[in-house]
Amino acid sequence: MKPDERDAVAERLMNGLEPPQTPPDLRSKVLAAAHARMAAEPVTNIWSTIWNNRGVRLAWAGAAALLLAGHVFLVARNGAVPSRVDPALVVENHVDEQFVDMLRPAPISDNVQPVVGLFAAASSLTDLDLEGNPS
Amino acid sequence: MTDELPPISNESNRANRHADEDWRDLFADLAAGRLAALDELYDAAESKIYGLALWRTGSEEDAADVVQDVFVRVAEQGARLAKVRNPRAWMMTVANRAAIDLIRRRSRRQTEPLQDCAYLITAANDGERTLEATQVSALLAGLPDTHRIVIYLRHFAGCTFSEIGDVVGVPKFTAASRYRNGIQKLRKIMEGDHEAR
Repeated sequence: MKPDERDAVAERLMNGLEPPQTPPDLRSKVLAAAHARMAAEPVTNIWSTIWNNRGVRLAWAGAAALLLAGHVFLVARNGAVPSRVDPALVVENHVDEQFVDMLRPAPISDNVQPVVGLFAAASSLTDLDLEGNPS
Repeated sequence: MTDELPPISNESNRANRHADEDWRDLFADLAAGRLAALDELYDAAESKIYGLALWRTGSEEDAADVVQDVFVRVAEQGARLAKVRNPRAWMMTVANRAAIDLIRRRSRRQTEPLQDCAYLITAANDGERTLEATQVSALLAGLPDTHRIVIYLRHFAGCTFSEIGDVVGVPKFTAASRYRNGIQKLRKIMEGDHEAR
């Protein structure tokens, strides 16, 4: 069968037959409902209101721009977040940064520094007290 | 398929192209707010939409509800109707979805047998043809609705397989495949029917 060609047997089978007509009273019922819907106020949601109103659209764009500017300002003032892994260490040892993060031991307190492994500071081995705290 | 049979005339396709232009004009009028275009659109589209809904739902009452639903949705669109490229296929798509929604909402009706639905009738009051229409309707009732609807769209709504794909939400080739499978199933049902006699 060629593309978009109708099957000849089905064509013969249904030849002279047609789908039933719509009920006669349906026309007035449908058109009344459709005209009523056309005459009614269009259903709007908050997003279409924003999109269709120039003032609200400008206010929304201004708020978004303000938030973006505030974010840029705060990041620039505070500087970039310091990396927890010494980049030199990563470069020298060819260690993946995420892998290093996974291996980093959780500190017991802010005063306690790790004493073993790659993370021990060069001077910490000599300056620890008996409890392992840096002096 | 029997390739030796004569090809089907493309008269209906030419007629559909003219109808498409008319539907586009009507959509443009509606988009511009001319309410009278709704009446003209109803006269142009109601039989195709009602037929599609009837073949999909198997219920005259549901089909009437679908027609109303479709025209209310058209009325809601307003100026957006001007953007519709193929109004005929668009309305068929809306009708198909409305019919599916209706079937889901009234799922209890799915258990009712659809054998009694008159999918086809005769235009003239011919006793023999009326009997034939009843028999063909019974054959069509034996098809899955996904296949039945494709046959309707191809034979009675004048849709191409590409349009059918858009209407039922499948690729063009799937629509063509469903049509062929539907016809094959129809033939098998016919053969079984003859053997049973």
